[in-house]
Amino acid sequence: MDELYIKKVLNGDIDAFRYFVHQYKDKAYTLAFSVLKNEFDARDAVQEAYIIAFRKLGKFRGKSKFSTWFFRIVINESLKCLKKFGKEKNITNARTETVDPGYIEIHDIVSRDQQKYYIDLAIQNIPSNEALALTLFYIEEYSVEEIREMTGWTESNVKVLLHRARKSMYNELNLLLSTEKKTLY
Amino acid sequence: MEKNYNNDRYFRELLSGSTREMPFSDFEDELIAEIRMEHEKKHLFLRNIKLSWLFFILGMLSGIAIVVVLSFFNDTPSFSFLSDNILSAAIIFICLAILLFAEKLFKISFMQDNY
Repeated sequence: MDELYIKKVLNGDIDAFRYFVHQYKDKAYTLAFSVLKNEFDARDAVQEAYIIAFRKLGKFRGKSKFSTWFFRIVINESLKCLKKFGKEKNITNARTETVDPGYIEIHDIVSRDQQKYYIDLAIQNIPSNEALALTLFYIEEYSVEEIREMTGWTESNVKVLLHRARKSMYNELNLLLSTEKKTLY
Repeated sequence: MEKNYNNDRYFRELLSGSTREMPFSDFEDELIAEIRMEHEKKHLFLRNIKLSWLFFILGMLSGIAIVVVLSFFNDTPSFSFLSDNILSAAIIFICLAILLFAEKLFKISFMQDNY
């Protein structure tokens, strides 16, 4: 399907580009947000990524999937934006040392809506590259190989980041939920 | 018991459905408008490049014609004020202009990504 719309856009049909916007905007936004942790910056990064994709569409050779190629642009733009504004959060260094309260079962404590809220909050509080790895692997369900292709990280780098991300996320959720427990009881 | 953070399935379940939705309803329309502008800009840019090449070639031909005409008149006695120095200066000036413009034009033409 993507190939058909790529041909249409390359033949000058601008409206055909709407297909890509409609199809990938949410995933692109999720990725950009995991890096930038701000909805306005994420929107700008996604917008810029789409414009770059439009400009360079003629150079897309189809060696990888369009989505992989496009998300690589989104990630690059988000990282560029992060570098530009120097917004990298260095929160978890202090938090990784939190005491492990044992097996935490988020489903027992909060409802599904609250769960989503806490997960969003936890993702916002972990470093950008860890949040990105987590988003790509668990939310977007890409393989390690695809993540390597999109980010330019090595395979071992992806695995290390995923391990760190899980740990950071786990600690962050523990911290948030222990506060929740305190307010509940 | 295995810690949660080493449990792939636990994380997959935990994070499933955590995809965000673009919260700006006007994003799509705004982006397409931007893309349209970009397309027009590119169109205009390509047209300007074509015109630049046309005027460059016309200028170059005119320059060559001027030099040929000047050297022709240089031999006639009524145009004796055209010394060899003036003719040489004109040739050097025209050659330099051609080189400088050609360099710029080549750069712009082959770096179209930066329009």
